[in-house]
Amino acid sequence: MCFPEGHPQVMWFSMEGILHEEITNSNELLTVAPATTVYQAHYSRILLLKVDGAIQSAVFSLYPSKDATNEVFSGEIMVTDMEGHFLKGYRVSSGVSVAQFTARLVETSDGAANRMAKLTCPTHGECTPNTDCVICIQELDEILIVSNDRDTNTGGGNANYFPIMDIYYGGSNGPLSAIQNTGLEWDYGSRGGGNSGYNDGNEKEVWDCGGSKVYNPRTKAWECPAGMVDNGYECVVEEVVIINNLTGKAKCVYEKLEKSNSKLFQETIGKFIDDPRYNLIFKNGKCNLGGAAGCTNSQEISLTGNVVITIEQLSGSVLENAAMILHEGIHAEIARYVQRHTTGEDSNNRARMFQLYKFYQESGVPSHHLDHPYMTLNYINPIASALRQLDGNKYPLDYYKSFAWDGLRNWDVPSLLGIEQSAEFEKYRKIVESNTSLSCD
Amino acid sequence: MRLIIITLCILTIGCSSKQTSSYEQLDVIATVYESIPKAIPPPNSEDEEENDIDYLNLEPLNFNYVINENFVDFDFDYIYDIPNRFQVYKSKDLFEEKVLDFSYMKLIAGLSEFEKNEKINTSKLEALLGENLVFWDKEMITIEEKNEHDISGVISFSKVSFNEDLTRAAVVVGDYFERIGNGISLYILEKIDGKWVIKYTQALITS
Repeated sequence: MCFPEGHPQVMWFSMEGILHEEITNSNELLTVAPATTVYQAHYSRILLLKVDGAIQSAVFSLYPSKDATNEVFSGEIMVTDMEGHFLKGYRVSSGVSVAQFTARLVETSDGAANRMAKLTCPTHGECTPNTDCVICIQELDEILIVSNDRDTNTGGGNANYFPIMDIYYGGSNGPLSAIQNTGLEWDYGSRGGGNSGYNDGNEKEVWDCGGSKVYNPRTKAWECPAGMVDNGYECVVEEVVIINNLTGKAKCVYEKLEKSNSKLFQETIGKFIDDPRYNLIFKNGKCNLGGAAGCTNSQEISLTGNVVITIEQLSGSVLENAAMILHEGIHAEIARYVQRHTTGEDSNNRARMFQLYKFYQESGVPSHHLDHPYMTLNYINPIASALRQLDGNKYPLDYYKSFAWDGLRNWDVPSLLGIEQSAEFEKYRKIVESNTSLSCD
Repeated sequence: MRLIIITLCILTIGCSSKQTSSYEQLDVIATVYESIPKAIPPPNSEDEEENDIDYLNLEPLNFNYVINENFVDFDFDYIYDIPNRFQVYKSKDLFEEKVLDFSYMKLIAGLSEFEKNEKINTSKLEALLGENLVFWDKEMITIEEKNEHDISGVISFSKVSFNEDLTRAAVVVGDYFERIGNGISLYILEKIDGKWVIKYTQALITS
């Protein structure tokens, strides 16, 4: 994402409206940010995708022809790098690619204006200095595509793709509304799904260009793009703090918790709302651990600021599922706190938490369990209280403690959960479950 | 005759190499299994009444694990996304990290190359650990099964990825207690003075 010093500014983008689009045939998410180029008739988006361990960027632009409708796109698609250098281009007619653009191989001694004058844009007329036609501005040749196979036409097959291997236009919202809402469908392409964290013999840092800073010709300085802030190490997203990709019952349970807005919710999941440097992403998916209902992944927090909570399976109980989301939210908040503390952003010292971490780490407890002893000491009552509030304060706090102990029973550091106590809590749990009016069916 | 002898030699060397790797795999698994505490004493507290808890009379945490007899591949689609920052195992410096070089990451990438449906040699693992182990035939366990057999949780291992000269190893270990409260961690080991030693770890999934 660098502009070389002195390079003319060809594109601006904003992190407002940034989206993470799913890519079929891959478990990667494509980051899509609205952009404005010097070609004002283009509808442009910046695409960011991790390829071979490095963030690859491209500018994806649609230039509709007069034949384009809100249902079916016709016009030109152009993919360039961040400096406006041509990478890929296609002509699309009624939703089908009919031609591919290629960079001209023959260089002439003509000036740019003379070279452009010799070109013609089939759908937008003669090339003039102020044209937005992709063929004109990039001085391209056009190769007709014979195959009617849509996948191949749109860049599939064996083409040399960048950086998402295929770019599909699809959806029923039409080209203009689609690009405005980023209702596009992205496909990873024939290289197959999966992600590369590094390249054989060619390790690269994820942010390999001054922490994603952009050269601003006006201030003549390297700056974080609009909507991003410099955390001293890299530019991080300023605006997006919670991305809720949950669907169905999981979404329903989350929204009930959000609406209830308990103190625990505010102090865990809610912390991400107030912290622009870290993103909490909720999604339905697999935890890769047989039978787990949900899980938290904070591996990349130091690189991307992201913590991902995945909901894999839900039970029939809203309270049980809410307890699970709160439990994972606590993991997420602890990961955020630890990252902030170790990078000097948070001077608060949760001394007891660190003491316990150290004690259990030196005992050989697997690192994925280091939060759990601390949670049994500090979060049983807050979880129970949040669930009680969610349930309309129907019963005393103890009636909700069995839910709060879910996932923590083996880490009963305070020795609170003897057999008798556990049995009593289980009895309460059944009473609560039988009488709750909470439902996500 | 010469051809037969050469063929036999090649087969013998091949089998021997495979057996060595198989032994080393069990040795790595045994090392990691031994490292996971089965009893943990209560922590100390400077404030003896922290959270109204009487720290002088707390019980130790006890874990009665069973081992999944099947190697688990943990759906390693994400293996290439694993960051190269690892925690230094049992470091006195909390949160001490080390950025591992490509040779280690190549080792980790090797975890994705194994086929499914392979089983741990349970008798050899017991012999290596010198104790009677309880093996389980799946990755998870129900509350009823836990209560019936007095089991805390199930530990599952991936197959082990080695470097060429069998001096470094990577293995992924998952545990399952109940529907949440589980996790998966990656362990990097090195062979030092003929013994496998855990050097680095990374939590992959927390639940």
